[in-house]
Amino acid sequence: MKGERIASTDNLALHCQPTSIKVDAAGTPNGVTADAFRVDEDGISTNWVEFSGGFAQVCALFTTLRTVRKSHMVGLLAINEVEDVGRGYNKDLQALHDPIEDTPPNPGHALIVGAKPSDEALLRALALLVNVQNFA
Amino acid sequence: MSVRQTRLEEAILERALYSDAAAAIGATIGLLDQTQQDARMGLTTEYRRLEPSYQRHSTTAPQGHAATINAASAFDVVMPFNGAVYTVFNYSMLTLNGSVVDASLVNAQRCSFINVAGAGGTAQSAASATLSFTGPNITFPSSSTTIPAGVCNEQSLVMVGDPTTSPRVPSPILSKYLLLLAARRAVLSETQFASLARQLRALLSDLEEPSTLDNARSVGSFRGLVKFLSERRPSHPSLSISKHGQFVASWSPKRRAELSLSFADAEGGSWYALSLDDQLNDEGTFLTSTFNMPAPFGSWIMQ
Repeated sequence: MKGERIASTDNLALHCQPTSIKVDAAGTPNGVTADAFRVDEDGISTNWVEFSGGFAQVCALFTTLRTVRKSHMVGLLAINEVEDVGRGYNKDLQALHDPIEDTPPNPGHALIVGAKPSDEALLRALALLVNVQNFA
Repeated sequence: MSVRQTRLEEAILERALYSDAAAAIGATIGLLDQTQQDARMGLTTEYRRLEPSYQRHSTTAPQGHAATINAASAFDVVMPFNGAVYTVFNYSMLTLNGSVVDASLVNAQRCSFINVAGAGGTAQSAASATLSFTGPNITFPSSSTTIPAGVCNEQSLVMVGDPTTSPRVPSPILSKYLLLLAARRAVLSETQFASLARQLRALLSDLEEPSTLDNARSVGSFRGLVKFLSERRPSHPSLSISKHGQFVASWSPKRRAELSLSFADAEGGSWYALSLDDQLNDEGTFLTSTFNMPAPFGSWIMQ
């Protein structure tokens, strides 16, 4: 349901492009930068992993929404950690279900609300929480 | 430019662009340092490179199937001209005492060539407007078109873009930065050089175009990164690129903590550090020459 608060025990996923990925000395992705977050006035755009049925399913959904290249990654965020970090910055961060019915549809779309584009320090902190994975 | 010099510069570009072996790039740089003695400081030359294949240095075009580009300060190139599609990379190269110290890609163009020596007219270039010469019209040749080679020079050789057979060529931004890295091989350790090469490949090989990195400011940022690594010799950082096209080095001494340096230019940039578990959060600007992070962040780059 649109606007439903997502449980703290669930997880969010981001489609990450090379322009927001960090790589270690071996060239292996090991994190993201704050640029991984697409923030607008509604919040930070993500996808609800459990709603889609799991990691593989959310990867499959991403491939229907955007071009996926071999260098792209999926970033995973635990909602309880997002909420904890928000409290550290005096922000009430919440994950809300925000299904998109337009074409192409994204029924698992979710928003992290409570952050603004200008919250640079908060976005950097959130970036530290992201666990990057290859597309399934 | 001597034949030997051009061959060496060709070799460095070839290896820097296409070799996966960092050692090969370094070896080529070393070769240049030892053998090129006659170039003057600050000399800027043009380099034109063609794919998929070519031979060097021929002033006579084989009848009917080759033409020669023969421009001052550029390579002589022999190539088939029967409508085959080539990619032309134009570089501006900076040499210092005979060594290539910098090479910037000016442009890359997918095109075919027709030789109009002995003919005339107006060739329509779909890629870059109309090229004019005297005589009757010539249209884009099919693969079976035969045009006598005659006397060929750059003026008689017309590049004709063909959108139906010339897909958009990705900007070889990775090549550009590998060249920049190769030119600075001497100031980096083996580990730093190899690590940076791997990181550039990971970040740039699949970058969507147009790239935010194809500008002088990003090149300056990359130089700043290399200068910092060479002068400060930290543990090798993670690397990323900001949405503004700046190179960003970061170190994570532990989970949920990070020091990040964003290089604005060759001299320095901005930094931030945070540790979620220790509730540390600070930021500022830095100069590589006087780099001095407040405690405890300064030690993080050595861990």
